[in-house]
Amino acid sequence: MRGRIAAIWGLTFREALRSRLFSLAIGFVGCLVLMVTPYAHATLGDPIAVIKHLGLAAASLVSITVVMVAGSTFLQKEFTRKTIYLLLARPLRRWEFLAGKFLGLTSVATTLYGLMVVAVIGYAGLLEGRPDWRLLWVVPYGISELAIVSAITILFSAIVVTPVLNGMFAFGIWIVGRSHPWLTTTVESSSLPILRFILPIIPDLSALQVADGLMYDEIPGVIHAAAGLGYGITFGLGLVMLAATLRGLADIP
Amino acid sequence: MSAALEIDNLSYARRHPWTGRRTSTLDPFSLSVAQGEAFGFLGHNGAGKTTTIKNILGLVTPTTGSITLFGIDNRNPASRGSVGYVPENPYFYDHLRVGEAISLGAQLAGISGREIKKVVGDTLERVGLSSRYTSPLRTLSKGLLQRVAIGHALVSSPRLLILDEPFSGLDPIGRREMRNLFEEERRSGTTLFLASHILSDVEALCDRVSIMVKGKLRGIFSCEDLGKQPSRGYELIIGAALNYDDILAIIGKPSSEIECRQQHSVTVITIIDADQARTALTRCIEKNLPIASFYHQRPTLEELYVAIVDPSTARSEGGG
Repeated sequence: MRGRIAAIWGLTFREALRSRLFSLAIGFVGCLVLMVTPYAHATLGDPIAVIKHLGLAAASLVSITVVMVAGSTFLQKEFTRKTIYLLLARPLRRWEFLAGKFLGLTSVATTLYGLMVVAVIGYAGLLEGRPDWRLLWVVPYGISELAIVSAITILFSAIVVTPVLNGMFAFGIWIVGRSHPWLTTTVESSSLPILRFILPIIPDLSALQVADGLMYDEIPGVIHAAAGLGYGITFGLGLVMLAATLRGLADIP
Repeated sequence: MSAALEIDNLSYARRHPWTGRRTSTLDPFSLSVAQGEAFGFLGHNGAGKTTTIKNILGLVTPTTGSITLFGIDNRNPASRGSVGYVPENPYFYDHLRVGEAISLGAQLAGISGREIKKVVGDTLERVGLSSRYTSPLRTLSKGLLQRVAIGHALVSSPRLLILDEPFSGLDPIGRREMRNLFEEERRSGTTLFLASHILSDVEALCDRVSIMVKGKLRGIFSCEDLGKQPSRGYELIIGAALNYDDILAIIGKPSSEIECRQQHSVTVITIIDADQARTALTRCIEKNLPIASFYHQRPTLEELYVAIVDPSTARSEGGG
């Protein structure tokens, strides 16, 4: 079982690494950070803090975009290219296939995110004279968010026919997840009790944003970071199992 | 000993994803393929061959009936542990290299990490791709991709090989090599399930054939029985242009019907009576005529196939 999941994981990871999407994403963030430097120096506050803040935000957004694009299209691509036939003609269970894809997508995005965060730390360190390693605290939270978004796109891939619609749904959930505090306020003030059932099924992605705090020396701590990581992985695996249950019943076109 | 493949009352109706309306693709049928047998699955394009294979591999759920592979229900993924599948068109990930594609098949079949390298090397050797280990799949021709697909199927040493048009895209030499490879597999005890419409390959490889027409199984025939069908005469081909009188002068006055025609610079003589044919052959040898071939004509699989798939064509050809 582990060997088969690892095979799909490796396949997904390799595909993303060899695609242009990966290098384009890194190039895009690199250009963005370089371009923002003159702007940062023109601000009234600390220009290095602006570069760090923007760099981390760009790394997060670009990784999320890569996951959404790759995740929304992967199942459709498997069907169109009929590559899924070769995989499922082996003793591979459908949940193993989806779990492998989930791990592959998450690890690709994590690698991308990690590289970009290190690049931002390196560039800011070059300007500041010393690298600010505290920024690495964003990584476990970033992985958690990427795992959840990967799982959301996989879930929608399993139930939605077109990649565009799938991507739009995943993007919608991500926006709502990032706005969780506002959603909570809205639901609590609403007279419709049914809305209260929605809250637990929407992932709280706003709780995973720690970059702002880091700028003001608010270090989250190991337990908090582990909890954040655990939340993302548990939520993600739950969604993948749901996707496997739904996809497991469906015929391969 | 359980059959390699047992299909019991299988039918399949495709369901429209939106309306839920079902369109029948396969009418109920049953068949059994014994272990070590080579079974041909014939049918025109759209007859239902690939749909049947999809059902066998568990890619779609049958509307009725059941399928077992070596006695294990095909809904259990473990049933595919001893199956190798070669699709009609080589479906592969463009980003992979040849060695990686074969290795993927080995990993999915549960071959452990240490063994993989050796197994992949052996498989590439067998399909004639040893020198292509690091070639990206996107740079390969269709024929070479087909070899990769065959390697992908063989890497796990399957007991049942499901081949869906495995010779498509191969040049004549490649076809012969692959046919030899499948014959070798068969001799080693592997069961073959060959879906194809290249009848000569099916006839050469298979013990039995079934013919499917528009989703209906129209019969299962033994290739051996085809040879036992009534003789359609003997064909003697002489590598020289001779007219009817020359032939009569050589073989004497025929006691039964003979037919004679010239094709390019050869003469084709069809003789119904066996004794007459033997005499003609002996006389030609005595006269030192260049004999190109002499063979017994029996109904071919192609004729049987045409008669079943399109009886009107068969009748008109037979009458002509």
